[in-house]
Amino acid sequence: MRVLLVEDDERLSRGMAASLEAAGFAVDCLANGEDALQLADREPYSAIVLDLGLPDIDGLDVLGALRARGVATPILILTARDMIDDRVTGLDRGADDYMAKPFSPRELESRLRALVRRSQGTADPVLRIGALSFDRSSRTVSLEGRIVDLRRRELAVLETLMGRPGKVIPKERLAAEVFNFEDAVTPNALEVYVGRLRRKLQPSGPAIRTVRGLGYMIETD
Amino acid sequence: MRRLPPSLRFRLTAAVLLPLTALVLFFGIITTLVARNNEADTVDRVLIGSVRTLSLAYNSPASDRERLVPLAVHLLKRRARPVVHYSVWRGDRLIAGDAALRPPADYSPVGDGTIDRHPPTTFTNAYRRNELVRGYLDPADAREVTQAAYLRDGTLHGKPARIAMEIRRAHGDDRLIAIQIADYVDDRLAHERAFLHQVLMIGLTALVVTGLLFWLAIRWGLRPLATLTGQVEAARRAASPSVRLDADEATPTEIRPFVAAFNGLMARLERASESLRQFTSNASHQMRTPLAVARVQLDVLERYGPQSRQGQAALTDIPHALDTLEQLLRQLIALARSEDQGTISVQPFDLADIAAGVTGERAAQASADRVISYEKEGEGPVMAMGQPTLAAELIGNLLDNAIRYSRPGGMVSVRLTNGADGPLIEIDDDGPGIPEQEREKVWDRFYRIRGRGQPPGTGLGLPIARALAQRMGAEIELADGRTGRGLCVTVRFLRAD
Repeated sequence: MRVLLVEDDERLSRGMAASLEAAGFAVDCLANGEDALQLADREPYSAIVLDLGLPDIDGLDVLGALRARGVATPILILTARDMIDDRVTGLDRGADDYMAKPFSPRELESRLRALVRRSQGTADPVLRIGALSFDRSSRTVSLEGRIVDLRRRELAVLETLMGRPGKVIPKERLAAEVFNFEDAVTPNALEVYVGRLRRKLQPSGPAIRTVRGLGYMIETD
Repeated sequence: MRRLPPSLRFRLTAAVLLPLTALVLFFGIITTLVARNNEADTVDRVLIGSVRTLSLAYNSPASDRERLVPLAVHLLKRRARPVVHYSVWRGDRLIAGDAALRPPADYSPVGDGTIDRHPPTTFTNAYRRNELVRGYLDPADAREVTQAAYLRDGTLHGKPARIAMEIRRAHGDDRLIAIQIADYVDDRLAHERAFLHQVLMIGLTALVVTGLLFWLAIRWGLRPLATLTGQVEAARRAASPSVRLDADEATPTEIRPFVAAFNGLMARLERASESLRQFTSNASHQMRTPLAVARVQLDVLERYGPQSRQGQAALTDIPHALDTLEQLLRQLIALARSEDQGTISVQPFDLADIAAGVTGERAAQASADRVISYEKEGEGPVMAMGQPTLAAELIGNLLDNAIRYSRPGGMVSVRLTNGADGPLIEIDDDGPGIPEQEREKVWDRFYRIRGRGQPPGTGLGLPIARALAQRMGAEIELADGRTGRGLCVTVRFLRAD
């Protein structure tokens, strides 16, 4: 899951990115509203975390502009003000959730995951295909009840594939959802992760098929 | 004893009723005294008139006397105010009436030739102004009278009585006869008491009616106040913090100034509470970001461990966040202290000494790549009015600001001159400066100039400096730096005379 973080305080942004990455998100950090408007719909973000106190454009205006442009990505606003008005205005202008600073990073992650689940229409935090289940809250994968040891990227790839079972996901799309701008990704990095996944899901897990020229697909049986 | 709370109605009623009661009493007493004099006068006239009538009856010829005296006594006893007690003495022998009504001790039964031993009673206000001879209209009637009718106070049957007496020689008789008529004084007193009672009852009724009317009038008169109370009460219950009293055309002119003053006060309180709300909101806003940094970075530290790249960043970011919080707290306290409404004792002090001291101290603390210079015009002390510690805080504050905003390798200069308008201190830096259009706004608490490359700050430094300056009566101004870039802050102190 890739998340766009728009926060002007460099230290907070750095900390939040590290914290979210530890929780399995791929994070892109931006420090102003202008850049956020430029990039928000350029990449397949699962959610956007938007600070309202931006140096150039008011966060609420960024929010309004994104929604007006038809960006439907779940947006969680961060505010340093505790005025009810701010929250109400934010939600009314198209935000999906808000958090007031200071916040618990774990709560932010949970809320982001919930937002993403809701936007995908899957209320169950656990994705299941046959004997394979992926608990998106604890970020653990089990096959026939046994925990499968997967690395962060492998989890991200599997989560994306399991999010759309039986559908072909183009390679570029998959890469865009799993890696952020800063990840130095070689063209065959994705193949490496998929290869490892196939190995680790043997023998009873669902197969991950390569559709030549198109992308990858996880089989439903 | 528990005192009742003072009531306006009670006060007003008392203020009117007390003098009114005194007035009623005063007129009651006057009326009673007048009535009493009148009454005494009337009784006296009746007694004198009666004694003369009886005396004349005895002066008639013996043949007529037999008929006239009983007739006179009969008539006197049937008056509206009956004359009951009489006695007639011939020499020292009672010939008619009550023996208990004896003549006085100075009465001489045979006559010693003395005429009018006692002055005859006269009544001053005889409105017909008839010429009377010793009380008689006809001088012939007075001829045989040796003592014309007079009044004395005596006793009859042991009770005080008013006694009228006339002594004459009766027709055809050479012996003197003394005619006396008496009336008990207590009759008169009873009459007077009844009159006094009447007067008091009328007065009391007037008081009660007045009091009642007044009470009602005050209640009616104070109704606009009750309306105002109702408005305030309604406002208190309503959620809206804004309270204004309405003055319509029914509002009395006496209450309008109160309404205006009340509304003015409410407006001021609202402004104050709004600015306080703004202040606390801003202060909490300022604290939230560093707190969020600390929390998030602690989480990072927990997840990645202190040896990791992320952990190392967290280990520098957390102290920084704490520094920011600490600075904010310090400045909030400084601001609260600088706005302390308490009066300070302004005294002459050597500004040169303070400025040089603070500059030296800051120069020692500042990093080596900042050049801090101090320059002073002329020799000797520069005396200013103010408070040395506040002045040191003010200069230190401005100097810190200048150092923070100056560029690495840049220059901060402090210049002290003794200008015509008072001692002047200028603090000059070569930092980004403050654009003309922002120079008013930077005095607002928490105001920060937006833009990249601004060093972190709380937006409280300049407001604190201004508050400190104002407490000493000093003026503070912002201008372009003297080199054409950066900022020059000028503080003009009051001259010490």
